[in-house]
Amino acid sequence: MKYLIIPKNLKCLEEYQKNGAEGFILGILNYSINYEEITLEELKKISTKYPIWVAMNKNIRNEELKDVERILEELSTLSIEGVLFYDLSILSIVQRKKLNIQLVWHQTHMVTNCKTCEYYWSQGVKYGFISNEITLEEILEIKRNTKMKLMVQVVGYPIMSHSRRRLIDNYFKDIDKKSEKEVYQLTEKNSDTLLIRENQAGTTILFGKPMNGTRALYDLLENEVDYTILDMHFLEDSTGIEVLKLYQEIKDTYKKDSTSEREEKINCSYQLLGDFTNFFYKKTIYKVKRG
Amino acid sequence: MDKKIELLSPAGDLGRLKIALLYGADAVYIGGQEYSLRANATNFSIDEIKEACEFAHALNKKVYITTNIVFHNEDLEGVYDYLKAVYEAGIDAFIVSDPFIIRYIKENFQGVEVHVSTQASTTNIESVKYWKKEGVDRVVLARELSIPEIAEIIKETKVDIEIFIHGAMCTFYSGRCTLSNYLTNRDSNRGGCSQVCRFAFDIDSNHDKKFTMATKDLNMADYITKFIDIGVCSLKIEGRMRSHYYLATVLSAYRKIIDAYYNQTLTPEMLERQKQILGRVANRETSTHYFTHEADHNDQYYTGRQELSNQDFLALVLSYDKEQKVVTISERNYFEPGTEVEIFTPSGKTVSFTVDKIYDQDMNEVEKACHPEEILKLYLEEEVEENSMMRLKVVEK
Repeated sequence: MKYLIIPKNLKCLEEYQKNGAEGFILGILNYSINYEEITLEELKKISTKYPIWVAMNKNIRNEELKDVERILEELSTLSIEGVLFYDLSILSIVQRKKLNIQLVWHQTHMVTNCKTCEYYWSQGVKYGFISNEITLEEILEIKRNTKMKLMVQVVGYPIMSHSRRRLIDNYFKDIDKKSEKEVYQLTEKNSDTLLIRENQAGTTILFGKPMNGTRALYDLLENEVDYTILDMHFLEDSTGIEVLKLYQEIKDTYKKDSTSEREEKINCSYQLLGDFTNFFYKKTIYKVKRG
Repeated sequence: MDKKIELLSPAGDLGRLKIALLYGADAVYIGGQEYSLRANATNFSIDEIKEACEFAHALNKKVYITTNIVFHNEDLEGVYDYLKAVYEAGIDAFIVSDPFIIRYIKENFQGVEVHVSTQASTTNIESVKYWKKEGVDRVVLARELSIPEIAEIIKETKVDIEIFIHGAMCTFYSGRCTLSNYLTNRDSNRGGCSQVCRFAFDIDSNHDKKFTMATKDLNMADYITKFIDIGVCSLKIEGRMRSHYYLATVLSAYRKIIDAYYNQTLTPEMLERQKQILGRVANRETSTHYFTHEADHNDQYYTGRQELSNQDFLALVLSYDKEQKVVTISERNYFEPGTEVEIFTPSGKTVSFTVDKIYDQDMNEVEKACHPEEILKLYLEEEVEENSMMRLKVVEK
């Protein structure tokens, strides 16, 4: 298993690498949502130093297609690890132009079953970034039933939704004020706190607590899941480094760790990330009704 | 203009399906009891799907079934049997978002169409071409596109394109929202959306006005002619949970606009009247959203909005006695002698009159109509069909 980092900026890449990161996921300017966006020129430099995966996960518009095609052609000449896509135009362009790019199916909330993994595999997509809203049991079942290499997020503030609308800007216009920052907190009496962030691509809402997938990490390691993802947005740099050190230690020792040693490491992760385990052990209801 | 544009209606159950088809829908979309994105709707059993198809086909109309959840592994068991049963019930198209289903349907069933759901958020020419390569017959585009973008997609792909024209909107890209999963533990991509986008939040706890994400509804009545001109294949109304009256009103208004445009009889006055009628069943404000502009604060709802309860619908026509010139109705909302009303019929006729005397089933005169579902009778000179609807008169401005 490799640890991939979604960094919140480019400052700490070396430090992350020293502590066990085996790759980074970065966005491309104007074509990414919730990734640190860089230009192609910056990417050319960085990709010579670090293993880089490029996220182009925006919903693409007609007027952007030529530019997307140009970027994909350039990416196919760079030594990057692969491209994470949401919009099918990217898959279509890569197929049509027969570009030498490894693709990662990254339709945020839709990577949820092995049949669709197999479908995309047959389309030449060899990697899938599993949705954050399914259980650990479901993840492992997909792993057992697909040839696709899987990426599973274990750390970070989960992304809940994305809109083209500028919801923060709209709100402040309505009250005749100006938005003064990029990220706000939303609270509602019966709900957990949410984070809302707006940029050129629209508005994203994130859950207000970071997920802590440390307990699940043991199962993911034992079942040879290919990649785990640590999203460092909104975490202190020092916390991110500490988590990575802990995860590296777990990777080195998980086969021989006793139950109490495991629990000790999991407890240690609670100090860093809290105890929110997202949907790893919690099934959503309102699934399809039977008969 | 090639093939006449399709008017596509939602139908939550058999009763509403019949009303939709009688009031001008060319096709309806329904949910089966599995794999549909409206887990809370009544939804159709296989026998009901069969009956729906027989009813629609007898009118030379179509039935599409939504099979557009995002599948989890546990949903896979039985899915192929279900698809086969639905296919054999006579469905005309599957509306899907998960591509493994598309491939299965294409490989196993003859003569049935596959439509890609708006859940797939298809926003550009290249993606539509991808679906075309996969054998898809129609794509329901994302609701974030402008009219020129839609026109460009149609021109460049020659794929049948369906768009939403009326009803509630999602704040977020379809398929790209799991607010319900996190806040209510209900899976939005499997039919459990709990409309968290309509909750009111405090933002950073320091503003007086509540923050909401909810958007105004969609109403594209002014642009139907444009959609016909650019070659849109199908115009879709949102709302499988909507009432019989809502469907009848909305469909008959759009039916009149479409037919009048094809017959070259559409006038600004007629369009205005239909918009007025649509306005009467709207319980929220409407906008044209991304079709005409970059959606902004004017397209959002903030606190202070009013969701109006509509009491225009007075009665459903059960029968008409030609000899006695008596119409039998089932009451829905209060009216009394002197109330200005109109009956609009499935065939498009509108009969306006002032209520004179009201009678019960045994022709005893009653003072007023105030018991929902009570069977009442009125004298009426002009014949009206069964399933016509009586509403408060829409007064022309």
